[in-house]
Amino acid sequence: MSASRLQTSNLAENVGTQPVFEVTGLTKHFGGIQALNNISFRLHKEDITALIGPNGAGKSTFINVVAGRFQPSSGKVFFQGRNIAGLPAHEVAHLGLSRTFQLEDLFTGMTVLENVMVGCHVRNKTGILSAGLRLPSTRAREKRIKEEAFEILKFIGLDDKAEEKTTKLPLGERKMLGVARALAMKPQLMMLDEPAGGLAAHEVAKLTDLIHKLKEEGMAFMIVEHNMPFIMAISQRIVVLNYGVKIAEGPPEEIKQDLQVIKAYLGGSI
Amino acid sequence: MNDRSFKTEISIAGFAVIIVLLPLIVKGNYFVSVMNLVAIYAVLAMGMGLLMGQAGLISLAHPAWFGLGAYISGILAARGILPAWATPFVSAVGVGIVAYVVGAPVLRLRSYYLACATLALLLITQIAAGQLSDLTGGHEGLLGIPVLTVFGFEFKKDLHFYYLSWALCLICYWFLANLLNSQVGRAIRSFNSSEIASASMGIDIAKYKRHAFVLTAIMAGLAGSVFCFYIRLAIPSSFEFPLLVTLMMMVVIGGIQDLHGALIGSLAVIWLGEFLRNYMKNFFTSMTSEVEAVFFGIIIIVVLIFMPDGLTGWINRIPSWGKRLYERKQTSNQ
Repeated sequence: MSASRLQTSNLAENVGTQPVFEVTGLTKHFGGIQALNNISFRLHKEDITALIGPNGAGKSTFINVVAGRFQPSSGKVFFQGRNIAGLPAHEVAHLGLSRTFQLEDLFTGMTVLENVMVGCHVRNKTGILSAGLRLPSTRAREKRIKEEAFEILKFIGLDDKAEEKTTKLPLGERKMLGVARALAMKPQLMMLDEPAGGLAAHEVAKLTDLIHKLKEEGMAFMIVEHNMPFIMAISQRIVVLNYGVKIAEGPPEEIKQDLQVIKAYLGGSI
Repeated sequence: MNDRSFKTEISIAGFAVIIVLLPLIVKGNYFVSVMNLVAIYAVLAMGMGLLMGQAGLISLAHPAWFGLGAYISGILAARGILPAWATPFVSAVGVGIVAYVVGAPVLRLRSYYLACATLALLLITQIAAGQLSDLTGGHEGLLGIPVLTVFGFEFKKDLHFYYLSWALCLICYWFLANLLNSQVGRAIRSFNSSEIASASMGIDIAKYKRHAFVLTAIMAGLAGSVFCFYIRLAIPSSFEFPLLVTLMMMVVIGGIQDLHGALIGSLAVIWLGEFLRNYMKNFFTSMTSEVEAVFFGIIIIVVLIFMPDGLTGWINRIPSWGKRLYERKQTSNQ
C-alpha cells in the first residue's frame, strides 16, 4: 500500500541464481501460540518446492502469512524484488503470487466458467461506469476474459462443465477448478495448499502432469501436501516444518533419511 | 456472457414497450399513480437487493439515501437556489459524497454489526430531518417544491411522472444488470461467498464494497429526487422505518438472488397492498388497516414457506418442472 513498506531486496541479488521467493526470519504468533518461528528459506523457479510437516506444523499459516491473509509478527518476505510482508492479500495477488485453498473456497452461486473469470481480475481493470454502461471497451474485454477463462478450463479438462454450478462438481474437479482459478491470474508463483488431498490416484497423476507442464512454461511452485508419494515424486526441494520451526530442508532423498523428520512424523525416540 | 447481456437487453426493451403501452390500455389515474410507486420503490429495492443478495452487505440505510435525495432536491428547488431540473444531479452527487464518507468506516463492519450501524444511520437521518425544521420544514414536511420543468415541459400529471419514474427504474436496472455481468459484478459476487478467496484473486474488497454502497445510494437518491417532485413534498415519514420494512419485503418476496427479483417484488408488494386495501373494505368495514396488515403478514409467511427463493426462484423453477413433466410423459408412453 505505502511505498515505504516496499523495499527492494538486496539479499536476492547476492546469490548465483536469483530466488523467485525468499523468506527471512518469518515469525507469526497468535497470542501466546507460536505458529511460525523464524522461518527462512529460498525458493527457486527451477525447483518445485514442497512444504511438509505434521498436522499443526504451520504450513497453512505460512501460506496465509506470505499471501497477505495474516500479518506476520516479524520477518521479511521477498517476492518480485520487494518485501511483501504485511501487504494485503489483493496487492500480493497483483504482484503475481496466487494461491489455492485446502477447502477450495470456490465462489458458490457462480458457474465454473465465472469462477475462472474472477481469476482474470488482476489483469483486467474495469471501471464501474464503463461496466455499467457496457461501453465497447468493456464488451471487448468481457469477450476476451471469457475466451481466456474457457481456454484455461480446456487446459485443465473442465471445459465440458463450464456452465455448471460449482456445487455440482465432485471433490476432484472442485480441486482442479481451484487450481484453474489461480491459474487464470497468470501468476509467477503458485502456492498450492493440499492440492492432492482427497484425490483419486488418476487425478493425482493428472495434477502432476499439469504442474510439470506449467513449470516448463516458467511458473514457480510451492506445494503444501500430506500425500508423501506425490510430494517425493514431484518436488526437487522440500522444507519441513514442525511446531512452527523449520527442522529440515533439502532434496527429497535427503529428507527421506533425515532423522529429525522421521521423528517428527512418527513421534517418540528412534 | 454476451448472449446473457443480449437477453437482458431484449427483456428490458420488451418490458419498456409494455410500460409505455400500459397506460394506453389501462385507463385511469389510479393505475398510473400506483405504478409510479412501483417504479420508485423498485429502484430502492434493486439497490438493497444488490447489496444484500450479491454483495452480502446488510445495509439498512437505504431509505435514508432516498430521503436525503428528496431533501436535497426539495430544498434547493423550494428555495429557488437551483432550477428544479438541475437538482436531481446535485442530489446524486450529494448523496454519493455522503454515502462515500459514511461508507468508508461503516463498511468495515460485517453482517449484523453492519446492519446495526446502518440502521443507526437511518434513524439519525430521520431524526435530523424532523428536527432541523428551519432547513427541512420539520415533521410537517418541506412545502413549496415547484413543478419540475425540463426544457419548458412541465411534469404535472401522474402520467408524466409515470414515464419519468419508469425511465429511471429501467435505466438503473440496465446499469446494474450490466454491472453484475461484468468483471466488477463478478468481483462483488465473489466476496459474498468467500472474502479470503476473493482477496487472493486480487480483488480489493473494501473498494468494491464502497463502490456498490455508493452506487446504490446514488440510485436511491435519484429516486428520492423524482419522488419529491412527484408528491411536491419532502417529509420524514416518507422514508422512516416502515419504508425499510416494505423494501425488505420486496427484496425477499421478489427473490434476493436475481436483480429482477426486486422489480417483481415491488410489483407484487405494492399491488398486493392495493388489492387488500380495496377489497378488505367490502368485508371488514370498520377496521381496514389492521386487517390489511394481518392479511399481508399471512401472505408473506405463505410465500416464504412455499417459495423460499422468492417469486423469481419459483419462476426460475418452472422450466425444470415442465421438463420433468415432459420426461414423465415420455417414459409413460414407452
